[in-house]
Amino acid sequence: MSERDDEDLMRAAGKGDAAAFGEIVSRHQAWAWRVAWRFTGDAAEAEDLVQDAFLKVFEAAPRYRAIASFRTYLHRVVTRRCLDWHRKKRPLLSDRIPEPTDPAPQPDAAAQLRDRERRIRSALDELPADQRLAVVLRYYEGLDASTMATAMGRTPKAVERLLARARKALRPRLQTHLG
Amino acid sequence: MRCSDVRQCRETLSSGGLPPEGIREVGSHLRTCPACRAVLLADDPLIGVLTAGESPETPAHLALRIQALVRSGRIQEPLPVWDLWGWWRQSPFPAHAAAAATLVLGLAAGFLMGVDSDRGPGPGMVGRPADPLAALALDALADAPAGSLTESYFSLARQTGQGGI
Ligand SMILES: [Zn+2]
Repeated sequence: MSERDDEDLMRAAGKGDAAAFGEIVSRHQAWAWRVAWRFTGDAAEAEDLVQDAFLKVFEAAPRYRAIASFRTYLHRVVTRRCLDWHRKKRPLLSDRIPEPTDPAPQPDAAAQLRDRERRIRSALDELPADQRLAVVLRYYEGLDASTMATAMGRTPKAVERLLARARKALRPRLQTHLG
Repeated sequence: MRCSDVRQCRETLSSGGLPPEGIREVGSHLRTCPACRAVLLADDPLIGVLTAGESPETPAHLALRIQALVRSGRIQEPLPVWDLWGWWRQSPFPAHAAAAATLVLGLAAGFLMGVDSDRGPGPGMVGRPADPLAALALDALADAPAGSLTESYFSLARQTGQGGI
């Protein structure tokens, strides 16, 4: 028996089929989770954000029309939830990443990685939310300009401008610390 | 992944199109290869974000948590909100024309009623009761130009703003 496609599952979910919706969640949660985690930098916040995004999708399922692929639709929902999350809260993420407790002169590989992680996290956190989201979608998820444009409700050119601004802002920090 | 493979990915890393699994492999190489890091970051410093660690695995309970909420029926279909912009985008041209015509007629009727109220009582309205607001004898309303109710309110608001009332 062939596997049901996402659009078919969404139609079933729209009629109240919770199992069909469960299949949708299983298929797409990893993508949503990675984006939310990279964007927020916090596992608990990312969980809430992903849960919220999928519940929005379920609520809207009766009105869902497959004018684009479900994946495209989900990209849009998740990116909107990320930006909403950013608007509604928030303490600086870099505050939540602990400083290394042992300033050893020759840190081991794990400590170096933690330090690099912290620097990157804090650099990303300094970007405006839309630029940070663009960096996450392009550099961690490999989305091209037109897919990102649909997800973010912008034009491909506007997306590239966001990335150019992020590049300009982060060039000194990333090249000095990571080069 | 070899250095040559990583360097071949330079373009697609910056412009998109490399699948996430490929990106993770490049990231893992960049974390341990300063030479590739220097080459790739010289072109595009944002590639440097890949040297951060992997994202954690999706929490095992996440899907169960979402499904439990869905099955509990606690998710309510939201009450329909009149989405004006959504309606406009999805409606055909005749609906746009009808909406515009209704709006114009409504505004015109409102305007004509305002003009009519400026003319004072007509011949058949001599016995019409006085404006109930006049009984309040508010100076602000008495000063209102031409005596229309709307203008009276604006006059009142202006005076209030100036500390008048
Ligand atoms: Zn290398």
